[in-house]
Amino acid sequence: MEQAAHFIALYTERHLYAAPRSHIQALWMLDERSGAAHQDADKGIWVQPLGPLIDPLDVYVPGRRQQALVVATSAGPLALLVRRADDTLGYVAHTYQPLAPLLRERLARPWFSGTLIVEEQPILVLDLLSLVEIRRTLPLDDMYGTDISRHLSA
Amino acid sequence: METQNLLLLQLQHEWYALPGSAVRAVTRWRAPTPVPGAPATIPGIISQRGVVLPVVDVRPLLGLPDGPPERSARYVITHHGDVELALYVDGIHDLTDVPAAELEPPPSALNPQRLRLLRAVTRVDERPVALFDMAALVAALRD
Repeated sequence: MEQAAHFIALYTERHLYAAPRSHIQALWMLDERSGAAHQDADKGIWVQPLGPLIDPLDVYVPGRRQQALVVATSAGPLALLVRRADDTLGYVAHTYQPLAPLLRERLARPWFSGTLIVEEQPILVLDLLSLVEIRRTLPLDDMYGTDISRHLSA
Repeated sequence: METQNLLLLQLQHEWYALPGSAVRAVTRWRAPTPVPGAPATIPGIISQRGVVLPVVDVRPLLGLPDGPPERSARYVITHHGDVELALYVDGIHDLTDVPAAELEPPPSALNPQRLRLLRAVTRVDERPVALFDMAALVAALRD
């Protein structure tokens, strides 16, 4: 599926990931300094920084301008915060490669579906749909112990 | 006289070898893309001529300390069956032919964790050299 997909680059505090654009329902600007979404957002959408979900060392820095990726889950939409989302990766879709089995077998969670190569550097491709579904079933304490979820107020 | 072609490499201050037939290329070290949630033995991935390979660091399996890469650090692009990987090494010494008769079983007194990864030991230029068993190495990475 991903070979033909359009990809979006996701910058967290520590990493650059890619994700299929089709996994993202909407992309919002969010200015935490004002505590407001730049676009109208329904009240009650859970917001979660993406970085620490994947890497506990990818520490969330509140109070900075963020972008929110709205991803559908079976329990409703979830907004994942990233430092920046860049919708320019579509042209590298042909470089998509699945993860080597040796690595895939050893990952703690099946959140990386493959890789893209950008300027000779591999970028990990996130399966956002799997991530949010698995994440939803886990207590926060199992997810690096930081409850940073909160309700987004429009 | 039957010989075994070996690539001599260095991990910390110890010399090891890979069968020459398992080596596809040697390339300079560059920072891998880290993979969160991967074990310490597979710290990241690199692109080698458009193919994304897992980087393997065997130092934890050998009980060797890790440390920042120096200028001599390299990746040995190696394979076993359909598994291809980029093995981190602290340096490369030579590709050499060693008489098969000079390859001896590893001493049983070795640390079992280390013993498991080795197929033979020998001496090259008076230095002890341990030959990796590629099948055992790949199996250990999968454990």
